[in-house]
Amino acid sequence: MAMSFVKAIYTCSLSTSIFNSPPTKAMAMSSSFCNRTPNHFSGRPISSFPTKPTFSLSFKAFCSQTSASTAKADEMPVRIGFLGLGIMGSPMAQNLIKAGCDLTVWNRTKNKCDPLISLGANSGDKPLFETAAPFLDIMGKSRFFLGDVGNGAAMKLVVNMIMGSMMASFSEGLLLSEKVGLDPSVLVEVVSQGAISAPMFSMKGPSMVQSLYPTAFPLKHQQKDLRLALGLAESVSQPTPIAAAANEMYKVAKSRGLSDQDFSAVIEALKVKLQNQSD
Amino acid sequence: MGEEIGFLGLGIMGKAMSMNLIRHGFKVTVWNRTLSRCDELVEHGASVAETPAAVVKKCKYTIAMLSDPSAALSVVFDKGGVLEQMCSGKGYVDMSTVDSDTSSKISEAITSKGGCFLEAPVSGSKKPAEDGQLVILAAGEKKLFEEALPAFDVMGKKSFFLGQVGNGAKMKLVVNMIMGSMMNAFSEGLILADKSGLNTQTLLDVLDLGGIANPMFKMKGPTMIQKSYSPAFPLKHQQKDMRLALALGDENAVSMPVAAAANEAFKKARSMGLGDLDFSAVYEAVKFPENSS
Repeated sequence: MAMSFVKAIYTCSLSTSIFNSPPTKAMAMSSSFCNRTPNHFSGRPISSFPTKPTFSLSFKAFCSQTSASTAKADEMPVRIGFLGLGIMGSPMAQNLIKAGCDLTVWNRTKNKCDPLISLGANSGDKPLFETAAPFLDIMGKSRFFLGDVGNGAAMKLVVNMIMGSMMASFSEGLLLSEKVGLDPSVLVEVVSQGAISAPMFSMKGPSMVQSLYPTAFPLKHQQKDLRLALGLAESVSQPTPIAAAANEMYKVAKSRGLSDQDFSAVIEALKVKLQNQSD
Repeated sequence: MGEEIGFLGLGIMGKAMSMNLIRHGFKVTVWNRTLSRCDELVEHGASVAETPAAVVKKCKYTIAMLSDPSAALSVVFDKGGVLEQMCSGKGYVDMSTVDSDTSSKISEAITSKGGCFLEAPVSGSKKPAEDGQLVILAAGEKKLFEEALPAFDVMGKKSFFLGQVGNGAKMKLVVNMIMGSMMNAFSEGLILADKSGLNTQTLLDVLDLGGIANPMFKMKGPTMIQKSYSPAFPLKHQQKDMRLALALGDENAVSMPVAAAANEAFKKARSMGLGDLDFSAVYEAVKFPENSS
């Protein structure tokens, strides 16, 4: 039912926009669409409507169908998603909203959603988030609804960008402390006492001091996340020199064959690799 | 330690630390380059001396808390300085953050006069200083460390003895290097979130739940979002520490690309006139174009 419903909508919306296009082309288009009008419309009585070309009849038939379904909306609301709000999609989606449909929209360029949202469209899928909540709560300790599709991905990249930079800086500190005659384990302890104490440092520090990197989060994935974060930064014209410097370190680590080790193996990138050493 | 303790330097840190000592029953004689800053301490029971030498003359142990290497050296070597009255039986505890060469220089001068020396830079800024929650990174004369512990326990929550002179200074610089880089990474994250249409407070909430949660992000995040940079740790001092850490890396040919990039951001912030603000004001330098958002 849903599939044919959508198809009918497409047919009728295009018919509507045909009113605005040059007549000859419209006639040609409408006649081909009339042929494709779904079968369950063909039985509708014509006499209730003033005489009009066939395509407008099917549009009106659809509207009565729509109002029938919105009358049923209280019992069983039909939610429709619409992907792509370009030259065609935007007016098509607008028509759906004007006809009373419960529409959720998405577009690659977010601001194209704005006119539709002001007409009443939803963005992202908050209702789906609520439905999924019990399952998310089993898997996680906390959940956030961040709005439009894309925001979750962006938030994840920002967090992992900060994390990748922090691990790179921590690596610099551990190596420097060792080279100047300090005990890196004491550095780990000192850090754990102060304002920059983070679970990641306390957890990874001890194994890093022993040059061990048991894989919890593969280095290749951390580098991928940094690369994507840098791409996001570029797309909004934001320089991120620290993330860029950190990314280089992960690339060096990858070239040393450490892709599948834990991302804390990035510390190896700072160590001098002698030519006759093997991995 | 029922003796009289001397305290040189009543800046953001020194004032809070000496106040803690007084509140816990220590007899303290203070000195500050700008004498008026001594007034509040005097109201709480401290004595004042006119010169560092006068403080050392009066006290068995003298603590110093100066802003940078040149101030730390000046207090020791200048006319009316510590050296004039340093002698056997006295101890000098320098809690300033300086490079290890400066610390070694001071150590040599003190010990050549028969005195004992301990470097003891701290990790922690204004609030931990007020609350007596500093982390103390001492090195030098072990005996003096043990004698200073009652005072350290009042000013701090944990004290480390790290061995020979220079080790405390180095440890402090390494910690502050990581901190400066982290503040930069955090700033980059905040501005990227903002420019990508995310809510920056939500980013703070997300960070606070995970493996990279830390007190600095929790404390500074909200004030950075509000562009509020009242100095707990002045940016110019953070940049000084980055510079000293990079010099340490230089001396030992240690690769430090992230720290180098962070130092650049702090330099830019200084050139924007943000040196006297809190070091979190580097956020304003990271934003691009400046003052956006």
